[in-house]
This record gives sequence, C-alpha cells and structure tokens, in this order.
Amino acid sequence: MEVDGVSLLDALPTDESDEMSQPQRLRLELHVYAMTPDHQLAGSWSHRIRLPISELREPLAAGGVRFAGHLELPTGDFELRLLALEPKSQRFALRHLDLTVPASLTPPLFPDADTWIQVREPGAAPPTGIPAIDRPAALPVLRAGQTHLLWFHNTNPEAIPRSARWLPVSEADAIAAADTVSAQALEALCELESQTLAASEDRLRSRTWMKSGQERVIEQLAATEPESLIPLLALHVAAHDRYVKQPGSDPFLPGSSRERSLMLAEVYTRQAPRAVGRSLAASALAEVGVAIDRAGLWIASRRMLEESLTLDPDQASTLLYLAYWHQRRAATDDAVPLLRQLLAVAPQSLQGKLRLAHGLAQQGQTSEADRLLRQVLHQGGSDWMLTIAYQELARLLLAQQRDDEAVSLLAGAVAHLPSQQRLRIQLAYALDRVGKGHRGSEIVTALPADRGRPSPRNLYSQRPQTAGNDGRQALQRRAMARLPLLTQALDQTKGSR
Amino acid sequence: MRSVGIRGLTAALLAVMVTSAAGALDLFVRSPRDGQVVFGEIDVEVEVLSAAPLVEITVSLDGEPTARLIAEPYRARINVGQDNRAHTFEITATNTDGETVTRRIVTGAIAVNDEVDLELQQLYVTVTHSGASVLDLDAAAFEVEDDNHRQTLVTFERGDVPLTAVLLVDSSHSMQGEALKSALAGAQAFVTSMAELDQAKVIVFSDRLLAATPFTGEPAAVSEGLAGVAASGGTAVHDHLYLALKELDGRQGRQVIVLLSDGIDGESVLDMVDVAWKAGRSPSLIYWIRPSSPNRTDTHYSIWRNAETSQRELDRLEHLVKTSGGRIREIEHIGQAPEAFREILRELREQYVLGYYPSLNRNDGAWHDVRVKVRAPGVRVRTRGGYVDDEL
Repeated sequence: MEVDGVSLLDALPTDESDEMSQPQRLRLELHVYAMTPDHQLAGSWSHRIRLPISELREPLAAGGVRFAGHLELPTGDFELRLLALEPKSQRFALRHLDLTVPASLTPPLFPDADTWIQVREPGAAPPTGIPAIDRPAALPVLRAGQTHLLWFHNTNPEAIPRSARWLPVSEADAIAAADTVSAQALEALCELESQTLAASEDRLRSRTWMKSGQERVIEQLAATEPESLIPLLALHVAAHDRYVKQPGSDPFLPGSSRERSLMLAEVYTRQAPRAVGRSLAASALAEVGVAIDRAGLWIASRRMLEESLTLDPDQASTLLYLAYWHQRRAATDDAVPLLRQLLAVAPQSLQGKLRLAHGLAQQGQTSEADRLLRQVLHQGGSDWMLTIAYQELARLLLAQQRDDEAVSLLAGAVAHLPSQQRLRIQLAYALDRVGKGHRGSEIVTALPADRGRPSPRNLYSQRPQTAGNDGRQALQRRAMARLPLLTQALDQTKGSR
Repeated sequence: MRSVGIRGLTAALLAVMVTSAAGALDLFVRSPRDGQVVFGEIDVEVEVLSAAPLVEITVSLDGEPTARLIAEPYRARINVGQDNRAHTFEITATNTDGETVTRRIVTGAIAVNDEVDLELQQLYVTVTHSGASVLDLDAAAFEVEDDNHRQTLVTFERGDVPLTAVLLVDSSHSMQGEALKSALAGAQAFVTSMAELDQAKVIVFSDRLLAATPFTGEPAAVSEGLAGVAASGGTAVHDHLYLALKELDGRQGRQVIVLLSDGIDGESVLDMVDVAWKAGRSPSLIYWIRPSSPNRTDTHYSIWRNAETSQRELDRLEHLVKTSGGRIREIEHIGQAPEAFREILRELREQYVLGYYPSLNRNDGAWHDVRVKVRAPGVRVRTRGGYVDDEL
C-alpha cells in the first residue's frame, strides 16, 4: 500500500505547544481485506505504524509511506479493500481492487487446481539414469527450457505403438497451459494403462506387466529423481478419481491406482523424507482415502488415511476424517485418541471438540464431555453444531437427574435456535420430567414442518465437510511459498536462451 | 344467506323462544344448555328465526370471541378445556335490518364435596379365539388384577368407543417413490374408514418432521396436509414417537398411535427408555406396522448408537408396543400398508373397554402390573401390561 505523504502531513495538528512538549509522531492504521465474490472474508491484515515526524518530514513530503503486507489466498477471484486511516483526524482513504489468484500456480494434488510444475535449477542436466524399460509407465517431468512434458517408456509393442511418447508444450506456454498439460498427462496415463491391460488376452499377464513396470519406474525414480515421485503420486490419485467415476473402466484400474499411490508415498518417504514432500504425499493419500470411502471401499480407505497420518501426523482434516470413519462404525474407542490428537494440533476445532465430547460421553467420561460441550457453546459455531452441543449437554444433565438444569439449558437453546424442531421435543421431554407437561405441550404444538434441510444429527452423521479442504489450503500455501523459486528459475531459463 | 322460516320450527321450540324487541329476529341455543356440565370439545348449535337475511352469529366463551357463523347449519365445535367449572357462552345474531339478539348460556360444574385423587384406569382389551375376534362377552367374563389385587370394574363398554389417533409414517430416504405413496395411502385408508367421532393426525417424519396434518376426521384434510411431501433424510423414530405421545396428552377418548417404520433409529436425541417413561404415563395404545426386511437380522449401528445399543433399542420398542396393549403387524412389503392400517382400525372397533379405580392407588411414580383374565375357553387376551400411577 502506498499513501501520499503530503496528504498525511496535512492531517497533522499544527499546535506548536504540542510539538514542543513531546516528539511529534504520525500514526497510521492500514487495513486490508480480501473478499470473495460471495462476500466472505478470505484473508486480512491490519497494521498500526508510528512515524517520527521530526526525522521523516522531508522524505515523507517528497514521497509517502509504502507498506508491504502479505496475504495468503487460495486460487480464485477476490476484491481487495484497502483502508488507510489517520486516527487522530479520522481522515481515511479507501480503495477497492480486483485480484485474481491463478490456478496455474498451484500443484496438482487436488482436483480443483490440477497443476504441477516441476522445475530444475537453471543449467541442471536433464534426468539421467532412466533407462528404457520393458513395461509401461508414466513419468511426468517438466523441465524449464524444454519442449517436452511427459515421457512414457514402453517397449512392449502390444501396449502402445511407440516405445516413448512425447506430449509437447512450448516453453512460452509453460505456465499458462499448465492446466491443459496436466489434463493431458492424466489422459495419457489413463490411455496407456487401459491399452496395456487390453494388449493381451491374458488379463492376468497384462496386469502383471503393468504392475511390475510401474513399480520399476517408481524404484528408479526414487534413486534418481525422488522429487518427481510427488507429481507422479498426484497423477495416480487423479487417475483413481477418473476410474471410479468413469463407467466401464477395467475394475482392476482403481485398485491399481490406489496401490501405486500408496507405494509412491511409501517410497518417497523412505528416499526423500523432506517435510514438505511428506506433507504433500500425506495430503494426496488422504484425498484418495476420502474418495474411496465415498466409493464404499471402507477398509482400503482406512488404510490410506492411516498411511497418510503416518507420513504427517499433524493433518487436522485427516485426523478428523479418520475419527469420523471410526465414529460412523460406533468404534468410539478408536475415534477418541484421534480426536485428542486433533485437538492437540488444532485446539479450536469445533467439530473436534464436539465429536470428542460425544465419544467421551459414550465412554462414560461425563465431566470432560460436559466441559467440552460448554466450550463449544461458548465458542459459537454453525447452528447444527450448536444444536448438537445443546442436545448432548442436556442428555448428560438428564442422565445425572439434573432435570431443572436441563430445562434451563434447553429453554435457552430453543430461544437461541427457535427453528430446531428436536430441541423443542427434547425440551418438552425435560418439562415432562419436572412435572410441567402442559408447558411442554405448548412447545411442541404446531411444530413447524421442515422439508428443506437435514437435521443437525443427520448432518453430524455425514462426512465432515472440511475433509480435504484444510489439506488443500495448506498445500496451496506451500505452493505459494515455492512460487518465487519457480519464477526465478523460469526467468533465468528464459534469459539464458 | 337465508332466514329460517317460522313454519319449520316445532311448537316445542316456539314455547321456549324469547322474542326480541322488534319481534323479527330471535335465536334458540340447542346446545349447550343452561346448567349442563361440559368438558373438552363440545358443539355449540343454534337455531335462528329472522324476517330479514342473517348477517352473522358470533359466539364468545367466557368473554373471549370464539366463533363466527355465517351459514347453516349454525354449529361450531369449541374446546372448553378440562377444568371442572362453569362457562358462560354469549351468542349474538345480527340480521341485515341491523337487528341483534343475544342469548347467554351458563353451563354448570360438578359439585365436589371432597376431592379424591383417584385416576380411572381404562383398559382396552382385545379378545380373540383362533385369530378371530370374540365379541359377545359381558363384564362378568372379565377379571382385572392390578399389582395382583383383583379390581372392581366400574365401566364396561364394547365396540365402537371413539378414538383419537396419531399415524406416524417413517419417510426416510429409503421410502422414496412408490414406498412413500403406499405408506401414505395406508394412513389415508385409516382416516377414510374412521367413524364419525374419530379423529386422527398424520405425522410424516424422517430425521425431522416433514409434514403433519391437524387432528381431523376428514380424509380431504389429510390429502391437503400431506401434499408434496417427499421421502428424505435419516430416521428418528424415538423422537417422533415421543412427539405422538405428547400430541395425545389430554385428548379425549381412546388414544392410539400407529407407527409405520422398520423401527431402526439412526438419529434420535431421545432413547427408547425416555419414550417408555412417557408411554408408561399415557393410556395410548401403540401399534407398529413393520415392513419385513431381508436385512432384519443384520447388525444395525449408527454414529449415535453402536450395534448392541441399537438392538437393545429395537427390543425396547417391541416391548413398549406390547406393554401398551398394541401389537406389531408385520407386512411383507410396503404395498400391504393400507390393509394393515384398516385391519388395526377394525381391531380397535372390536375392543372391550374396562374401567376401574385402582384399589392401591399410591401416586408414587411406580409401575403397576395389570393382568386381565377372561373366563372363556381357548381365548387370547391382549391389553396394556401396566401403567405408572403418578400425575404428569
């Protein structure tokens, strides 16, 4: 943000005595808000600065104040609202700016930002030590300054016509066409795998070819190009998503994608255990875990989620999802430790507190459950979460024969959330218990029907809406952190030509 | 609007008429009568004599405007509550000549010298022989024991005692399409077959209340109240069973709940023990129409209840139904719902109603076991298994 110095100096008081009594300072407040198109706050910062005028009057008059702030924003369109305020005079300036954070700058570990660009240091040699192999595989590598994106190695003449297949992308288009390139890579992999399976009438033999070929490539990459395992993992995750959604796919393919994803993550962790890479691999596995849970492959899903947490135990969204996975099967004893771990890494997680309280109540640990539920109510949240917090707290009170407290709690809940039908039913029950059945009848009389939305307890039973989102946002932030390196590498490569 | 001609009134009616000042407008209150003791819902019925067309008849109860009648028959159903006290009705007729006439009726109260805290226990008893109802028994054939103490019957009725019913239709996601249509057709069949004084309310629920009609005897009101309802969501049987019991609190006549559901509860906030607590204090008969399921023996669990708890809740629901004096009516497929509803209504028509004042009334909130024996060979008897004797 830049603020004109002359106008700032104009805002200063001219009282000489004030100037004599203490060093004169210019105070300035700077606020920035990034708003989404649906008017949600996506990011903000506020800073208050003080400038000693006696020392800076001259440069300030000649120029102004320039302040560099930092916002972490996901891909998308935003309206930036910038406010500069001089608090003493209350003079201010407000500007609105449109900002687009492009998707092509984010890696392809998530379906809605399908891009990954791998960059080498300027002047680095192209990958070496990748021999031609006799089984089909995919190896997506983009080298700055080169015109080829994908190498497919295959010497099996039945699988695809050529031993190597090149998908070109020009250097100038490298970033702009990144989405397309990634889609091409996915297309190529899926085509390759399908053709490989169809190449022989002996299906078992085809599958063995594909499996062993891909495994060999993975091992070779692990030795020579370990960082490329991550985009390859992303590619298999995307392929899995496509196979699951695409009717008519060979039933072997989704399972194969899952196995390759797991192997890539494991090999990467063994060979190149960098924190960022582990986290990326963990997020990718969590993505697959959630996707196959939706597809009904529950046991495989749990395995993926557990592997993901082995790679990165601090993923809040994965901890929440795996805890939910256990809760849905009424496996409270398995869910509770995960929820405790979740609250250790994300102490403000409302769902974490709510689900832990529920689990503890089921285990009979009522005092801790009571404390957590009251925290949720104090902290505030969406209506459905608050409704459940009220309901579960009331259940605890009623179970302890604290009927009057339950009535007070539920009466407050109904006043707070009057449209929640089943808070009213529970209040009527509590009133019955304290001998005020007639009052309960009034509360449930003409209970309004609700055809529009699931009940809070039904929402609680559904998959956590945030699963994967936290991971995506973390990945996006990490991708942004890598951006300067990428830009520098590309610039230097261009400059060297 | 038309006036009632004098020729249409009987001499007896004329004898009790009071002529208005102008002599061209008069009204006669057929119901209620002065001094009559009234409770609950009653019909206020008026006859009018007017030379000019009638504009309206207004009815106030204890000073509060309660009904406005503008067309024949001049009749309104009004709820006066359950308190034992006198009520004042003021009924005013106005015609197009601007003439008005007002009649005041003051009902009576039961004289009470000493209040005795005795709750009449009513038992609705189904007696069958080889699956067919036995309908020719008299009071002497029945023997009632309350906590193993033989009781004296003070009332005995047979057949068509008016009923007030709540029909609970589970409409969770699995009931989409034809299944829900059949279920609602069942509820409609029940209402259509009801007797004149019967009333029913239909509640369609899933994990939330999806639709509800008022208490009505009109099939058209049911159709209107349920128009457009679609199956969706999870299942909260317990909560809505409790709601049905609550809806029947204080209602007159025989109270009946018919639940159409597989009974598997995914998301209720109330446990069956909570519902049973309420049911033990309610005279309601609970019937359960249960569609058979190929997965009946499967283990059920949800995020709210593990397999063991879910099974226990199902067992408790079965027990609750039987203890209430109702029964479980299995159907092979949902298309049999209309016949099941009609069958239950037929059974209700064929019940005996026995009343007694418990000899060991304690008001201590404890459960009283009730047993009914019938002196007839080879018969099966079904009635509620007991009750809790405290006041709600």
